[in-house]
Amino acid sequence: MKYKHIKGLQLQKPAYLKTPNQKIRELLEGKAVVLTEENLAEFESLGVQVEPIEKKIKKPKKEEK
Amino acid sequence: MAKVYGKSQYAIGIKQKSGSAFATAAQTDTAYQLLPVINVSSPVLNLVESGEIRSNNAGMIETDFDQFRTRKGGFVTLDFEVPAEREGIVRLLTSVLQDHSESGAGPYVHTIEASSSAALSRPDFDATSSAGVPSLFDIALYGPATAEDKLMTSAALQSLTMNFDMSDGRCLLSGTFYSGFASSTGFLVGQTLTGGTVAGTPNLMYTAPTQIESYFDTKTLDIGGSATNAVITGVSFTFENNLARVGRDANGDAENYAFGIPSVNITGEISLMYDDNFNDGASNVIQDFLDGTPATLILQQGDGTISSAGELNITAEIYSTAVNYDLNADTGAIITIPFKVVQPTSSGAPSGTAFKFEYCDNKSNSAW
Repeated sequence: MKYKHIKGLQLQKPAYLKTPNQKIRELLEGKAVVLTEENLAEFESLGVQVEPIEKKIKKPKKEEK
Repeated sequence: MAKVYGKSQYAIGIKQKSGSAFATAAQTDTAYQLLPVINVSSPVLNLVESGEIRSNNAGMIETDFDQFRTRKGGFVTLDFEVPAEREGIVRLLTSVLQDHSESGAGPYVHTIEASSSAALSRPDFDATSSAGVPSLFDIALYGPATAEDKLMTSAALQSLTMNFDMSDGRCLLSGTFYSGFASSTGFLVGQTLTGGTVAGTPNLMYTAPTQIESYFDTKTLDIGGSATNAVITGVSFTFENNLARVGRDANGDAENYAFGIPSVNITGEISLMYDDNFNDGASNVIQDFLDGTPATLILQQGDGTISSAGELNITAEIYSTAVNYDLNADTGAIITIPFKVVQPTSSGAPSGTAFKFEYCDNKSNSAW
């Protein structure tokens, strides 16, 4: 699932995080990034807040009469 | 030829201990954590000494048996300066103010506060510590070879300066540890410390030793009672608690420590730009200074909510003791205000916050 950064990541030193630098950079740029359970657990332990980007559920097309 | 040693062959380790072990001598175990000093200083043993020429000495030079020196009643100090690290700053501030509360379970939110609702209280240094208070440390100086290590027993911080140094870029902490254990069983020399993961050296306080930078997201100082944004070029706080040894046991070591007698003093200095907000206008810093009006200083790293590791809030009620100018600074005119922190009052009663330090990190004080 993709997530966007809310707060706290800019205070962490990327070198000390297990989450890849590329993901951290993109989160800080405001992009939606796919995060694993491990990434989320690491962020939670540091109080870094991210929010999931909800996927739009496509409504089934009505059959044309 | 004699071997020459360098500073990199020495290290200082500190280990938090409960007040219940106040009289227990420091041990040579693996629990010491690196105090990340840049320059290592050695503990200074202050002994009780005297020596006066006695009568019946026609030579007028003091004799050797005129001299008196004892370790009983002495004390040991250790000066240090370290870059503030995320998982260390709270421990040091806790020790100098002997106040600490903690919430959360990772990240942890630490609060050290002197206010009308949470006034500082004098700790009982030989009582069991709760939330890290009383805050005591055994301190180890790791020497360059076996049997050359030193140990200080039950030290606490006597003074601490927290300097947000804009030129260095980091928050620097300097101060003095004080131990009332100067006997041969309290201040131990010729020891062989076990060392941590690396033999002969203490472990890191934290494996991700993030240094605290000198910047603030929010930085306001009251002008005429209104919080006003300031361009700060430097700010520092100095905490002094007048820690002193009390009593003398069979070894001549301290039986307790006096703290905050007569007072705990928090002073500091802030330098800010002479600008549209802070200037010599009719209702500005000079008038506030002449009026003797305390002002609230707020410094924050982060958004102020203290919920992510690394977020910091400092709130201080400051009473300026002078207003100095450097109108020739390379970066523009600067106003420097030395201050002392005071407890605000309302109708004669303490009301509000004198000093509050809040910090979020990833380390519990109780498990430190």
